[in-house]
Amino acid sequence: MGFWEGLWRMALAPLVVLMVVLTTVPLWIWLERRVCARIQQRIGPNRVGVMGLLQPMADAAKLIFKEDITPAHVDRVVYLLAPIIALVPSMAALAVIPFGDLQAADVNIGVLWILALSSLAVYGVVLAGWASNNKWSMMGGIRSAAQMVSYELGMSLAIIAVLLTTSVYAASHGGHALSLRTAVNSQQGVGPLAWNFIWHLPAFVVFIIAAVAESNRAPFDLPEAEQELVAGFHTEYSSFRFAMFYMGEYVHMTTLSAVCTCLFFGGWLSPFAGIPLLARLNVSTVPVLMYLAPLFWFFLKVTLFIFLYIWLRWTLPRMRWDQLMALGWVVLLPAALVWVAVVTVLAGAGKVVDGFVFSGDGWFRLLSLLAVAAAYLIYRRRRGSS
Amino acid sequence: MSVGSLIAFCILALVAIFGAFRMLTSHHPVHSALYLVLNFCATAGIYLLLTAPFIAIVQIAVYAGAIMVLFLFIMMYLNLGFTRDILDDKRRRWVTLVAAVLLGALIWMGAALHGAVTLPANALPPPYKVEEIGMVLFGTYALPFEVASILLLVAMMGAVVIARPQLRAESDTKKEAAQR
Repeated sequence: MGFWEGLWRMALAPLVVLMVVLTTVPLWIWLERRVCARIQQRIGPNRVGVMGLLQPMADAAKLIFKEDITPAHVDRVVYLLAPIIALVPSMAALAVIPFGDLQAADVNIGVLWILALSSLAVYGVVLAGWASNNKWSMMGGIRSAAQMVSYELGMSLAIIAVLLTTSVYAASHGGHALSLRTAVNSQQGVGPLAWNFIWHLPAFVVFIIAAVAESNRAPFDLPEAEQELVAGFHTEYSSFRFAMFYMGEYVHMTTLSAVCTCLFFGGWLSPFAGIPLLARLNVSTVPVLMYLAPLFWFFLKVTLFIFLYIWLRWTLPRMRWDQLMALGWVVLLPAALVWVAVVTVLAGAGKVVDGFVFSGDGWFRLLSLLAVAAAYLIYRRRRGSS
Repeated sequence: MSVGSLIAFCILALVAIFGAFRMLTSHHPVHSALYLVLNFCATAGIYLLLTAPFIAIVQIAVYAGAIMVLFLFIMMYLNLGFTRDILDDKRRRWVTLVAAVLLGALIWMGAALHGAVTLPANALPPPYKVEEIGMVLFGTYALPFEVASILLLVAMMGAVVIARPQLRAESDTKKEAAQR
């Protein structure tokens, strides 16, 4: 490793990743406000800059120049630290995400790193709620702790299901089983047909629901339910400390969307890859596009997930507290557990019959589709009979 | 050990000791819990220096991420207040000091009797890959691993049984009856 490569890998690449992702945050906020306006048949912010694109900048400037109030009754140190703790884990999680060739750190425990940091992310909200020394904030903090701990289980199990097939790929093709780069590489094939979201449909659904709950967004935004808790855990925060919570939410969304893209949507892979007629569109030989195309696909997929987040938020009503807990513990956790067991059996079976008509991977895919279809049919029958 | 990792170790060790010390001397249980989290994170950093990334991540995910969050949750839920009176109790201080000295003596005796700690000959060489740890855990040591999980399962079921509302209600009514 020469000096320049070392400089790039140790210092510049992480910086570039951080800058790129932080730059997308205002974009998401703009998208959120415009899409929400469309859903509510309004126009939304369209005055500042072209199509209102500079509105988030204006908001940020306003928030910075507002007075930073620290109420007298708070636990000062924890109160001041909480917004930082809310923002840092979701930013640090970005380190292991491969945006095409751009990646801050390709460590062999990438997925575990994501899980560890996502379990630390709860501290920001919980501590903000507690340190504010305010009943409503405290309720928000407690709700958030319970919610995030509950949904983390379903999310981890959904990730484990994907890791099972990824590790089969890693065993035969090389690479670390827990690296997100291997997860993306294992989805190479005929365009979207090779992506995990088809062959791991139950895990994908569980992951998406848990991801929305993890980022405390509607319909799971009970920690800041304004009808019940004023503004929940960030009631007492103002100025830039509030902005940090606001940013933290969007960075968290971006991180989870990027993880979802890597695990289920083929990461930076082009949807046209491997399709015979569209192979002419392959740009991997054109010098500049060779580097830009993976980034483009990655960010397009992330944008789609962010759009999904926004769409859900402005469409679904907030869940009740007991419904939230029931969904997490009674529906998502057992579903993910069953799916992990099914994948273990099917991937094992695929390994045994590897090379018989299909490859082991092909057998797994066939069997997993059959399993999901069978589960659906049984569900419909039971619902029809009752 | 290179100079860089020595410096990193010194910083991490100091942070870990600081966290552990402040955990003991903080006057508020929530602050103590937070210092313990700091200690866990520094310890995870030391594991990383020992080229054991899996243990480091598990330390953060399980201890700092799950167990301490539940601790905090309970503290907030019960709204545990200041514990200054317990800490300022003179006798307790002496008991703590004696216990600490005894524990230190025990560790010193163990080290003196056992000599320098050496890894068993069949231990995995670093860096420890997750795949290898998995093979060892579910191969060679499958039985102890499963026994440990059954122990945890039993403990959890015990907690659920104790906390079951109808049982608690029954025992409450019995208590009331006894009081009458």
